[in-house]
Amino acid sequence: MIETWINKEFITLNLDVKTPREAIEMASEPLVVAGRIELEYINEMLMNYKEAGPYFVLMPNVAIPHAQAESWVRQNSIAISRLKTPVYFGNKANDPVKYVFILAAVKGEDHLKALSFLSILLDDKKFFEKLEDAKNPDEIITYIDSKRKEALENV
Amino acid sequence: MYKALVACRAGMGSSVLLKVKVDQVIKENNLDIFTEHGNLDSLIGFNGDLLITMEDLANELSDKVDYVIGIKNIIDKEEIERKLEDFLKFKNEKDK
Repeated sequence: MIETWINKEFITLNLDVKTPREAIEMASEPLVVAGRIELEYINEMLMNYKEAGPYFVLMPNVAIPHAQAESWVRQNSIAISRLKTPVYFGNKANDPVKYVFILAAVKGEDHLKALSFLSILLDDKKFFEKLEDAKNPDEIITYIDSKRKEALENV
Repeated sequence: MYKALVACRAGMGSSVLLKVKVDQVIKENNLDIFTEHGNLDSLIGFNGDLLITMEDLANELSDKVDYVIGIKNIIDKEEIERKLEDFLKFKNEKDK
């Protein structure tokens, strides 16, 4: 499930960006390089931000940009960036953003299981400690993997 | 049983994440609400009682449904519970 969404190439630590636009573009870049999304998907996320505002800063310090443009998504993916310097997106309750999770889901599939697992991660303090302290993407992948196994056992 | 639509602007994504959390809160507290999720188009012809969305979207949607809940923090179960209880209280008062 989730292991097909995230791989270590999609994790960027200490991303050096100054604006929300840069953060969304740069955090998405590995997905473009890997052929998971088309460039248009990035434009759609930026458009969504421009039109609807920063509602996708869903919890303190965490932005989860996404768009309803699934035709530009080739394969279900999540890219994770830790920002070198927090960036203000304009969300009063949850600014500044330190972590960006780019969410790209293929249309017409059932994503409930994968997103339920993402929800478990978002609610996991240890995951964010790991994200904060990790020296390389492998540490984060290893943690996600152990969490995934734990979640499977508890079902 | 009250019917709630969990919706955000872009269909799959925040609305599903939000629904996962709202459903947990409903189950844990035995609240008399069931949810479905969708995007803003789902609001057209929606005949339920409640819209649940992210706070930054709540204001622009407040005239579309009888009652709108805006959530600030998607993992804050206390916030979600408090706002759902407020909705149930509102309904109880109204039905008296």
